[in-house]
Amino acid sequence: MKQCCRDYLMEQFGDEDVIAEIYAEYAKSIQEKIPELEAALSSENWGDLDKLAHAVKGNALATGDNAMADLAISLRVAAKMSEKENSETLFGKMKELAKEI
Amino acid sequence: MAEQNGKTKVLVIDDERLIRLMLNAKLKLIGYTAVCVASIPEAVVLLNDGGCRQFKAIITDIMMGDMDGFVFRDIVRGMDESMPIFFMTALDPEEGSGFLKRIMDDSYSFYLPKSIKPDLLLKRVKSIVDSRRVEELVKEKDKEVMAALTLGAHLQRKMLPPRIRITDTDFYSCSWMPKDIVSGDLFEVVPLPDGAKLYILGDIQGHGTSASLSMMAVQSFLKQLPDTENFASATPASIANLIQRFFADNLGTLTYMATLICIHRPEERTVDWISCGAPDLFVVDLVNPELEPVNPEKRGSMPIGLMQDTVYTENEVVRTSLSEDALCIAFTDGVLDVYRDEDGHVPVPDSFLPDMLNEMIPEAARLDTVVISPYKFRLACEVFGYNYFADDMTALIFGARFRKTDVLIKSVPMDADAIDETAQQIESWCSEQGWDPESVTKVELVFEEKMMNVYDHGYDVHDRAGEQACFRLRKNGNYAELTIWDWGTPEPSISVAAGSSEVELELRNRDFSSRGRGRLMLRKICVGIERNRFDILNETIYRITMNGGDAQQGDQK
Repeated sequence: MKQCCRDYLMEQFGDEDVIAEIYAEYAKSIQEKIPELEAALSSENWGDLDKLAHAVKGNALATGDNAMADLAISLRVAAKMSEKENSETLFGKMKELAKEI
Repeated sequence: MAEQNGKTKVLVIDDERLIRLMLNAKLKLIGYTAVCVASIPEAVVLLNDGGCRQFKAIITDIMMGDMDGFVFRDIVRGMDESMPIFFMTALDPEEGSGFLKRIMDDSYSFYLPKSIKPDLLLKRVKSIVDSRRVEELVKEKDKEVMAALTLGAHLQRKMLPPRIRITDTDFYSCSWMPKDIVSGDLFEVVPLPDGAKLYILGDIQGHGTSASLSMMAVQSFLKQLPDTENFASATPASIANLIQRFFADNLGTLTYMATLICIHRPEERTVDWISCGAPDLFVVDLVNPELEPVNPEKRGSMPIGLMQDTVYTENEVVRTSLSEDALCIAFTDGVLDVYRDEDGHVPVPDSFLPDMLNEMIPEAARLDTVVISPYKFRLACEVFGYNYFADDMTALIFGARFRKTDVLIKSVPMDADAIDETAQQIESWCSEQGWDPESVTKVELVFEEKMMNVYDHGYDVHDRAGEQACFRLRKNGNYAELTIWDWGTPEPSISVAAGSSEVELELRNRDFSSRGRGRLMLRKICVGIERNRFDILNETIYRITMNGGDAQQGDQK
C-alpha cells in the first residue's frame, strides 16, 4: 500500500481491515480504468476520456493518492482541449504511477 | 422508518464502488446506516417504493453516467421539498463555481468534499439532519396550534347567539368573521320586556389568541346579564357600567373593548344606543333613503375597560326614532380596517360606509335578502375597491318584522321536528297565497329535501345543535323561488360540460344522489338550481315551475 494512502486512510478510518478493503477496491478501480482510458485515448473519444479521468481523480482523492489525482486533473484538461500528444504523455505517467498501487 | 434500530438512514448514490464503500465506512463510523446504490434510476426506485421519509438525508455524486445529480434533485423535490441532499464531489477549479451555484439554488442542498473526514462528515450531516428535525417538529407544533385554534374558534362560535333570528315582531342577522381563526369580537342579544331586544357588539383590543381569551370571558359574563338586578329596566348606559365593572374586577388593565350597546323597541320604533369607543349605529331608512346623521351631537364615550373609573351616563345615550322599514346596522371597527391592498394601506374614507350601505341595503331590501347582508359586507367592500382586511370583523343588522305579505322569510333551527313544522307553515302560507296545490306540494317537498340534506350532511351530528338555516320563499314570475341560506359544509356543485348527454347527466346526478348532497329528486322538480357562497354562507336558489307557468319567464335578480 502506498504510504501516502496508508497515512491518509488511517487518519480517516483508523482501522487496518477497513483501509485494506478500501485500498484493494482503489487498486481494482484503477486497474479497470487503465484499459478503458487507453481505449478512449486511442479512439480520440475525448468525452469518455474526460469522464474516466474524472472518476480516477475522485477515487484517488478519496484514497489520499494526490499524485494520481493531480495527473487525472491534468488529463481531464488535456481531454477537454482534445490535446492528443499531451494526453498520451499524461496517460503514460498515469500508467507508471498505477504500477505502484 | 428513517431510523432503523436507532440508526439514521442515509441514501448514498455514486457510480464508483470505491466511493460507496468509503461513504458506507464513514457513515458507519459516525453511527449512521448507509443504503448505497450505483445509479439514479436505482435510487428513484428505492424512493418510490419506500418513500422519501425512510431516509434522513441523501448523499449523491453530481456527475454520474447520463443523468446528473441535479436532475435527481428535481425528482426528489417532487416527492419531498425539504429532504437534505448533499452533493459530494471533487470540485475542479473549472466546474467548481458553477456546481456550487447550482447547489445553492436550493435551500436544502449542500456541498460535501469527496475527501471529507468522518468527524467533519458527522458534524455537517448531523447539523443539517437535526435542523430539519427541528423544522418538522415546528411544523407538527404548528398543526397542533392550528387544531387548538380551530377548536377555540368553534367554542367561540358556540358561545355566540344564533346567526339569524326572525320573529313575528323583529329580526336580526349577525356575521362574525375572525381575522385569524379566533376573534376578539363578540356579540350578544338578550330579550327584554315588551318585545324589546338588547344588542351588544364588542371588539376587544387587538385580535388573535389573547383577544379571543378575553372575548370568551366577556361573552360568558354577558350571558349572565339577565340575572342581574333590575335588568328589565336596563338602559344602554347601565349595561355599559355593568360590563365596565366586570372589566375592572376581572380583567384589570389587561385589555379594553370598543362596544356598541343598543336597545331596540320595535313596537315603539326606537333604538336607544351608546357607543363606547365603537363606530356609531347606522340607520338606513328605506322610506326616507337619505341618510342623516343619527348622532349629530356626537354622543358617546370611551371603550369599556380603558379607564378603570369610567362611568357611563344617560347623557351619552342616543335615542333614534325609526320608520317602519328602517334597518339598523352596527359594525365592530374591523370593518373600517380595510385597505385597498396589502401594500397600499389606503385608509377607508369617511364616506365609505354610508356610500356602501346606501347602495347595498335598499337593493337587499328590494330583493328581500336583508337578512344575509352582513355576509355580503366583505364582498361589498371588495366591490368598492377595499380588499385587505386587517382585523376581526362583525356586522349586525336588525329591524322590525318584514312587512311584505307576498314573501315568506324565516329562520329554521337545525332540528328535524322544526324542519317538519316549518314545512307545514310553508304549506299553509302558500295556500293562503292562492298557489295551486301541486305547486305547494312541490315547494314543500323541495324545502324538506334540502333542509334534511343540510341537517344530515351539512353539519356534523354532534355539532348541529344551535345551528340554523334561513329561507326566503316568493313567487317570481311564473315560478316559485325558494332560497335557502345555510352555514353548513357547502354542497359539491355538479359541473357539466356543455353538450353533455342525458345519460352523462343522469349518471352524475345519481352519483351525487348516492352521496346525499345533491338529491336527484330536486333536480326533477326544479327548473333551475343556483348555488352561491358568501364567506361562510351557502345560498341555494330553487326555481319551481308553478302550474300554468312558463319556466322561461320571471323577474330573476
